[in-house]
Amino acid sequence: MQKSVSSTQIFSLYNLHIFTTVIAFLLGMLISSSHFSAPVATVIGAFLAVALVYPSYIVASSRPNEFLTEFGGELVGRGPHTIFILIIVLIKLLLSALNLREMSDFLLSIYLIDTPSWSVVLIFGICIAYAVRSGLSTIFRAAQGIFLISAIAFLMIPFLAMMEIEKDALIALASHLHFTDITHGVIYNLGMFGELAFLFLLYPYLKEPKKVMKTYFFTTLSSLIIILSHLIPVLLTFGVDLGSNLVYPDLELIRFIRAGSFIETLDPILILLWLTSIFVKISFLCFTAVICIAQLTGVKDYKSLSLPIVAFVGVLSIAMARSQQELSNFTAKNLSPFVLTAEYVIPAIYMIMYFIRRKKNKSKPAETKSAGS
Amino acid sequence: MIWIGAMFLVIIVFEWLSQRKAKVKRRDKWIVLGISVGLLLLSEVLFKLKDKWNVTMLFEFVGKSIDVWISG
Amino acid sequence: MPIWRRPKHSGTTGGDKSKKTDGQPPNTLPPSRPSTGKSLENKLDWFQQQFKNCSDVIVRQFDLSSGQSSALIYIRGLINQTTAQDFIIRSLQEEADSLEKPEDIYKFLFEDKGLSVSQNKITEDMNEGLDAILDAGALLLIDGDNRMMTFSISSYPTRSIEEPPNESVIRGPRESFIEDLEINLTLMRRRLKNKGFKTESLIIGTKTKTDIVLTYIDGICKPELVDEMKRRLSYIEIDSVLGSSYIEESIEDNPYSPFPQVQYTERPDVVAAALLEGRLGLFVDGTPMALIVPVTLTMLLQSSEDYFQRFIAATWIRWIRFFFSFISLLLPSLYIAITTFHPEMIPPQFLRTIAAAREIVPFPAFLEAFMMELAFEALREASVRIPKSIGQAVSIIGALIIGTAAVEAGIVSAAMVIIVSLTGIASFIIPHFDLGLSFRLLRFPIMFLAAMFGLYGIACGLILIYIHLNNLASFGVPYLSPVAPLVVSDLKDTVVRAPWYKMHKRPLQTAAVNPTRQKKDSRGWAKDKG
Repeated sequence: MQKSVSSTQIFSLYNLHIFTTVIAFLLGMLISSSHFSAPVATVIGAFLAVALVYPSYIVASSRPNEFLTEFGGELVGRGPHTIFILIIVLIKLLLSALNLREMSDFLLSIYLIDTPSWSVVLIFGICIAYAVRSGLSTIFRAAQGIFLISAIAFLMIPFLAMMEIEKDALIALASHLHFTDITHGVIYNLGMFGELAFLFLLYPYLKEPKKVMKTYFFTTLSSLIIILSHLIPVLLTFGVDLGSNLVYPDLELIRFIRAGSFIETLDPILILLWLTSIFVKISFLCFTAVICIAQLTGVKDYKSLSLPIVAFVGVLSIAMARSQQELSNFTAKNLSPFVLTAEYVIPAIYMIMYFIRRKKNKSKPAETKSAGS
Repeated sequence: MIWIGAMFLVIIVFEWLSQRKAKVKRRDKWIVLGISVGLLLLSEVLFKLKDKWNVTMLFEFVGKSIDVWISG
Repeated sequence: MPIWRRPKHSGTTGGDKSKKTDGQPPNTLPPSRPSTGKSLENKLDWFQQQFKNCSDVIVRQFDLSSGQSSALIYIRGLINQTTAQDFIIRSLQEEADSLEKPEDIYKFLFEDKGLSVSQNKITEDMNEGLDAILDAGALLLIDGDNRMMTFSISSYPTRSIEEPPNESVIRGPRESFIEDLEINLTLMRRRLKNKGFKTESLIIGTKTKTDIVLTYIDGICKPELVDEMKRRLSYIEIDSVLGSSYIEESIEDNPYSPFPQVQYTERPDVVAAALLEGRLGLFVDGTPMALIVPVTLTMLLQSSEDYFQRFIAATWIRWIRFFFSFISLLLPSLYIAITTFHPEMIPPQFLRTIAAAREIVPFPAFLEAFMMELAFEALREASVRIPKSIGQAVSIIGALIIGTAAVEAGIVSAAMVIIVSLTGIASFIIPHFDLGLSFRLLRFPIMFLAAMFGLYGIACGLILIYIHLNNLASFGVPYLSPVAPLVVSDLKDTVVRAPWYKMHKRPLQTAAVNPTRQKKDSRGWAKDKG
């Protein structure tokens, strides 16, 4: 088993994984559910997520050289284990398809009007399939390479938009806090930040597994800074009503920027940033799904499954919703419980069963061959 | 629909040939084939029914059923 | 020079595999010990048969002063004939009384007569004798003795050491390699006066018997890297090696990649610097280029000039180089994407100018760009082969046709000509020619994607290239190192060119064995006031 993922790579990938989607697609939803409580809800949700991901860490670190997909059956029983892993895989495929759909909708509605959606999805799918087939270390290295540029660019945008902010409304971030709004926001953010839990399915790949929780903490901190640096300007520029009704509020914020006469609008540059970051996210999700299926079925080489699964994700992204409205409704209302189940409830069940079995002093075999090696 | 079938067919053939070249065990080849065919069928069904029924509607239905079950 | 014997592999080199050859490739030399006996005549017959129809092979028969018949065989033009004639033959004819054994003859020639040769050997193997003659040596045969003596008295014409034609610098050494392997190694020895500088040699090419020398610095280079290189070279069993590119394609990790994974250079200082960073150098006789492995993308974007200029200027030039590498790859595609899909990005006044220029052009932006790029590629390729006497005239005509006339005829727009010229200039900024070729090659598919999907297409194309680069490795070193995976200490010679007094460590990816370059702060004198 080649331990190929370092802490800095985890930091880079998860930062891109979290802040890109939140800033690109979820700001409107966050603002509509939490209004001025959105920043507070984001902070609480983020740190709560790090704490709730801990059961996954405990279970994965109980056998650091084995994959959870392989030894999980011994904890909860083979049948339930298969069901749990399938649920996790389905959720991951759904999230990949969702992100792909949101990205293609964004491009088709703003920049590529009249282009058929299948062509946009096809091209991107080829990139994702190539990355998944290349392996985990390639995906993490790709994230590491683009993280710094993306982060700097994402942080620069709010500075450029400073002129348009309604500074008098800043007080509302502290004075307009409501418990219900915060709760809604926390639930959304738990779902977003909880994707950290998926890394524990790949625990044997990590070079420094004991440092993972510390890395998660700093990742959460840095992605929070970047998210808040966009969320607060959007809230203060557009307010709650307009902000929650805009489909892509961050895009509108960028269109406010006047960067001199050289380039009138910077938003096409945004495409490049979002695309690379979303690409990394979707590739990672697809990779974890592929490797789980390969390990569940006992297939030695996961690469053979990468193309069909990515193709399925592509078709699912086209067929998953009839309109953007349906998709937004789904993301806002129906998706969270299932995602939270996959990220927190299932690992918690494994953890409970692990403690129960440990108490009963059952021993485990030393090593097994795995599809990931 | 034809294009989805064609795409999956190309993928299946490509994977079969590359697995054969790599001298992969027969069991693994059949599993990959089975999964690919299963995903092809699922894709075709999803695409065919995308205007009448889709994944978001399924989740909405499941969510409502669970709500009804919980509230009794 | 220590000779490295390559381990034998089972199986044949190639050709007709159905023939049993007992592990020997077909068309090999005759058995190593033909039964010629001690007779000079038999031995001469054997050699004359081997060298049948070779008019440049000279056989000088003479008698030693002791009365024994002997013969000196050599190839005219490869050896120093004065040494052969006046020194060896005449001395043996006139002064070699009672010299019968080869050892005595050697002692007489080297100690008494002071003959200076780089190598000499006594052998009974006829094929070794044959090889010695072919390798610019002379072979002395004595009647009544099985043993033969070889003298390495090579003296063939070689090119003089000149300024590097493709890697010239403003400030820095102006020596370049030539075709002769020994002179190239001499150039290296002059720079690396270190017993750790190793030169392991081997012979590849069943017909050409080309000398290859693997160089590295013991104590800095990882032993695993040396072993891996030897392992890869041991698989090459080709009939001829006429240039280093024959070797390059066999040893690189991914020959199908458009990106080079082996660096080549004609400058000894570049090789010396690479060896001091823990890399390997490979010299091939007959090629005025040395190969260096492992290599990363950032290394290919560096020039030796960076290290001879002041660090601020060198850093600035490096940034220009990085920027123009992107320009070389993306400028035509960006033009196509922006004019076709995103015209709102262009300021209104400029947009009006471009629109007016493009109004008369009958072709879409993609076709216009494609035609111009193709024409430029043709011009560039033709200029390599044009005779120097008419080259200048033809370039002017080409520039006039492509530039002025095409614009006036309305075939292309003026903006397109500027784009193509800028792209062409940008591609020449890349120091490594192969990398420039890679970018030229990849420009076309990205233009196609830009025409189909605009900036999204360009982004997808870049993502595909980026993933490919992340996958690529050169002898175990990731191609995008030290950016991905991030090695912060190595960034000081990648993103910037740190001053020499700050470069305490060698690149960790290649020189982890001995990473310390300098221990003391070489500007410590500024802190010591006393």
